[in-house]
Amino acid sequence: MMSGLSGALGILADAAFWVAAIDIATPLLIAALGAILCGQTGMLALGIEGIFTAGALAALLSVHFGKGLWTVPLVAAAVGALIGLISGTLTSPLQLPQRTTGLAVALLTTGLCQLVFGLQFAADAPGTLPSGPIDFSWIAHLPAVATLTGLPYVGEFGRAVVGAPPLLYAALLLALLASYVINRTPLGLALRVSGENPSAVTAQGRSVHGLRIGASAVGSALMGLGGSALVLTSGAFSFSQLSGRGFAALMLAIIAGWRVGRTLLAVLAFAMVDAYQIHLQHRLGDPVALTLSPLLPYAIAFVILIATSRSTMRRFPLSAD
Amino acid sequence: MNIQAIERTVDFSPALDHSAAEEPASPSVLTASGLTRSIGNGYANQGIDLEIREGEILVLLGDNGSGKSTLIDSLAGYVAPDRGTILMSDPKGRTPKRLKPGSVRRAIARGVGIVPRDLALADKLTGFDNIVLGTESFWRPARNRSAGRKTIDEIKDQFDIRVDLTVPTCRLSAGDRFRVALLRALYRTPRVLLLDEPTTILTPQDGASLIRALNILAETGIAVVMATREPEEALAVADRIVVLRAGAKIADVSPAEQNHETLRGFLTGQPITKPTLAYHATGETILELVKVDVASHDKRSCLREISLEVRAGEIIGIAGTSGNGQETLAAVISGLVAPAGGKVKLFGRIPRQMTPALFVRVGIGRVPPDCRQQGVVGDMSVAENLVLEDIRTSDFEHNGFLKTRAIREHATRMLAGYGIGAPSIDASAAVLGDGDIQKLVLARVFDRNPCFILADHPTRGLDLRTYGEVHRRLATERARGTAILLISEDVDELLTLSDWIGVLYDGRLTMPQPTRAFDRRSLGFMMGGHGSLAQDWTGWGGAE
Amino acid sequence: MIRVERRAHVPMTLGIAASIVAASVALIVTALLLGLAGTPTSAIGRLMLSAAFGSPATIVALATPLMLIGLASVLTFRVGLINLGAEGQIVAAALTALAVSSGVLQVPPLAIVPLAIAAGAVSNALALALIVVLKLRLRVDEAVVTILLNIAMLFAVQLLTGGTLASLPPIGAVQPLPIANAADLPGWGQDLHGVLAPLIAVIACLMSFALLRFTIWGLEIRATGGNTVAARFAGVRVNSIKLKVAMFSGLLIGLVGAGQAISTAGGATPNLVLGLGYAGIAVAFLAARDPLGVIPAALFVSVLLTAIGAANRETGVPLALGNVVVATLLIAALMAHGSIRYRLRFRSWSEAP
Repeated sequence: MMSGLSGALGILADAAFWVAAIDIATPLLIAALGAILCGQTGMLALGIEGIFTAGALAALLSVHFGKGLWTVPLVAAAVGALIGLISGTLTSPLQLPQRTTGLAVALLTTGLCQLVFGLQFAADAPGTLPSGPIDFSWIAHLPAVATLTGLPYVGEFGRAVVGAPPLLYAALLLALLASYVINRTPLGLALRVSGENPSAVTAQGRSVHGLRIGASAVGSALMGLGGSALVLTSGAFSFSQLSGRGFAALMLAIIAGWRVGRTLLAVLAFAMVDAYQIHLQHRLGDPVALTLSPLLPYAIAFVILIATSRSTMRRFPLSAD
Repeated sequence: MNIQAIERTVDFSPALDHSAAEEPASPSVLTASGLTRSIGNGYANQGIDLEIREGEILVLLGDNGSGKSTLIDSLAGYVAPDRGTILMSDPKGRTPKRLKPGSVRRAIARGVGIVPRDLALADKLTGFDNIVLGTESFWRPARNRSAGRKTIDEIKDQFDIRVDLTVPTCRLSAGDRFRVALLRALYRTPRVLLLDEPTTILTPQDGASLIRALNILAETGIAVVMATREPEEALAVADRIVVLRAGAKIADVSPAEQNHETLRGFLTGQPITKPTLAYHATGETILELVKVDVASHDKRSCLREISLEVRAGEIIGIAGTSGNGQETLAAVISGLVAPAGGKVKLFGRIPRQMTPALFVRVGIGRVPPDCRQQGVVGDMSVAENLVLEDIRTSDFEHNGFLKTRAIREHATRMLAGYGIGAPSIDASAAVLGDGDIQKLVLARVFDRNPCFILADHPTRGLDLRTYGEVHRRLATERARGTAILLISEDVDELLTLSDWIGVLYDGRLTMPQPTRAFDRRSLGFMMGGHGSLAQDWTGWGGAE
Repeated sequence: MIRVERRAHVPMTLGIAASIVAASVALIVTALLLGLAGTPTSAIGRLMLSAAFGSPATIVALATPLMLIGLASVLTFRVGLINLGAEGQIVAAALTALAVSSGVLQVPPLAIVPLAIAAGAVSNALALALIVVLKLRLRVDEAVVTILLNIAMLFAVQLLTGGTLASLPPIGAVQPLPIANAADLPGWGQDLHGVLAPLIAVIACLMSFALLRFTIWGLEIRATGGNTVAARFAGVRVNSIKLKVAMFSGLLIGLVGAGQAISTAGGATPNLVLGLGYAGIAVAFLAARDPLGVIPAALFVSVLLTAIGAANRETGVPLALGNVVVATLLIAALMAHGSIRYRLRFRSWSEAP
């Protein structure tokens, strides 16, 4: 029993655990940023599950057709932006009920992804990137990185962060950019007001619909980017792995009250719980008792969501639809 | 409506004369011709021609429903008229250019600014942020706050407007919020400034200060167009008065040649009689609030130790501008909000459960403050809305089934009896105009012969004739022994109808005093939170 | 110039026309996608026609759960609740019913089946009641929560049976359940189920229609959904109505789940048809949120899904095509019914005031 407990705690000291946590967190963070952008303008991005998958599939197809490492994320973002444009137009000027429309978009997009995947690849072969997992290990050999990781007290977490694939840094940069744009630019001010008091935006001659469609497009581009990040970090594409990620990102953004800083913490916490249960399964040899452990991060997020709903909804009221 | 027929009932000299030119008229800055906009089967504006000159104060005088708001919205770009053109003079003296309608952005760019009737401010933003919202290019990577502040300070000095721009606007008084909205319009350097019924939300003192500020604006060459229902205001401030009635322009006159009676006549074509409240004994206490406390996250919705008593056969008026707790008070009395402290007694007893359902059962009539949002279900028909409160009475249901014929007959009777202008009883309530929705809710209240009426801004949006009718109805109810609580910002309404008046300010209620203890000026002071002290008003502003 | 204005009254014929337009869009998309997926053009027509007219029993069998879920969705949407979680609720009810029928309780065999079904239905009714209470007291967004529970239930059952995880599974995919069905439904029970279930569904639709149109509770439900604030102000007990409608709706959805689980032969591992929860939402909006319209709408969607299922068996077209079609139908229905509330007014320049 005691060895089990120390074994359970020992996972936290394992470098692989932190690497896994960061790999899980990165795509979630990017997708959550997209959800935040939509949420600031008063749109609940329930289509995120589909857009995330679409971005992942776009990444897979781009690599499959031989596109370079820099083009792949761009294609995923473009696919996401297109879906966001359509979704935003349906919600804002056409005024369809946003939650039901979001579900429809998610259903439509995942369906199309499964169709395209089924037609492109053999029906039962899991999609892997033709070149195998993208190898980012060359980063650890950079002189600056090597010195930092060699320091005595950096610890496993530090080592994992410093040796992390560039996608993590891209995600953190995007988070900084998003926070800056939302809080310190004229555009961000208008976005925030179009969520709470759209008539104030109209009174200044600016278009609320335009802002919402734009936020939906850019936000969905980020969600697609997040999907591609999952494929690039894990080196494989499978619908199983993608399932529920998009929605988790949305939930975390809601729990964080649509704030970038808090979302970062929420995403990290979620990723740690998820990585933890994976490693627990490996350590304890996949016991039957842990069959449902993949649900653990979702369960914890659910409880926190319910606990924080009252204050979040009071500060950021959404439309009833 | 036949305009000629109306004019025949007015027995004084013809209206359509332009002011005698004693000095050369200043150049016109905006010329509108033939502005027409339809609404439902009729017209909100019918072929209106309007010329606005530099540096003049033009007052659009008209009743509710006369089309002045539609006209202002057309000029500001909120709506596009069906027909008509708007020409604006070129500041460099070239030929006047057409202002394409329907775009607020274009209107602002060409120099047409507006302070909307509901102000359209972002509550959680500071005054400063409200003013600069959307004024900088969205491509700018950073906000230039200092330049904005400098410009705003210059405007504040030039027009002597004082207001604290560093707090969120939800914490400002009604007058300060108005100043923010005005600064927002002035920040865009307008050549024409439109104001849609500005004095309805201001205390009389703030209103007087506004008028002084408008004069300063006009002196700098800005053309000011102010819409109002009050002939006194028109006479006080206008260089020129344009009167609208039923969507058409019926007069364009100079105030020097008019007085209160003639303008009233233009407005309605018939004299308005105020109801007289005859003295009579009051009965039992129907509603009593004892030291009611309501806490709230929003500072504007708190109530602090409110005590109040309303007896059968009397009208208690609660005066106050919005944002001082009226909504919460109405919610408590409607059973929507439970007080954190204190007691609410109905017929001397504390009810076990305060819910709207209880009030409906007991026979209390309530008019919500915003009838469109809170009083009717837009997707249901007019008939269904009329019967919604009474649906569980045996008049309209039998073993759970709706008595459709009875409901339809009831609706037809109400439509006719209360003058509700709906296309049919099956029309969705959403297509009704604001005034008709108000009438619908009032009809619902009055028809039940209630023992107590909570009248929350009951005449909002109503034209003068209906305004008078509602007042007469309230007076009749009072004579019948109904207890009435009247919550209003309209000083005249409060003074006309109430037996006692209490002033609600910052969540506190003054002890209700007999109405004869007040006049317009003193009531206005108290509504602005200034006790009973008179103050010298120099410049225009409150706290900095 | 042209202006968009709200109609005073939307005639029923226009509503039916809108649904027909949405249905046609779905048909066209189905045909197009079948073609793109490799089905020869001649086969497309044959598949659709044989699906529609070939076997009424199959159509009705699929239409029954769609009708019940569609009706449940119509009622919750009309009262102002957005329940997107029918999918997960079906799974939960199925598992509950199987747990009861697995022989844990000492009940005479004849009573097991009704008891299991009742358990599944009632447990789901209580679950929805809980969700509504969370919404009313803690302002929890029910759309987010119900989708989350969908994902959780689907993941749970997929993990327990060792399958792959899918949050939005292909409609028509068959998911085995982890508990065996111990209740032995005799042959005549199966036949009874085949006739009773559609009958119950149709009667439920007709009664709900009458309720909404002709009774005071229907008026109060419509008022609550149309404008909760105004309804509350007028004395309608909105919280109680939302709770009751949600519970009834949960009961219907639970019946679908429990029915599917119990209706397999005793001893075998029951299978659930996935995706019906989402298809039911499309049915609700194709029906213009009217209980009467749910009947033809459910039949139509049943035909579409049967055709796609047949194509899948014949030429290997992926079942995911059904998701695309159902989603397109949902969006088309939303757009069609949203637009008929408005009309265009033409103001010609020569018109005199």
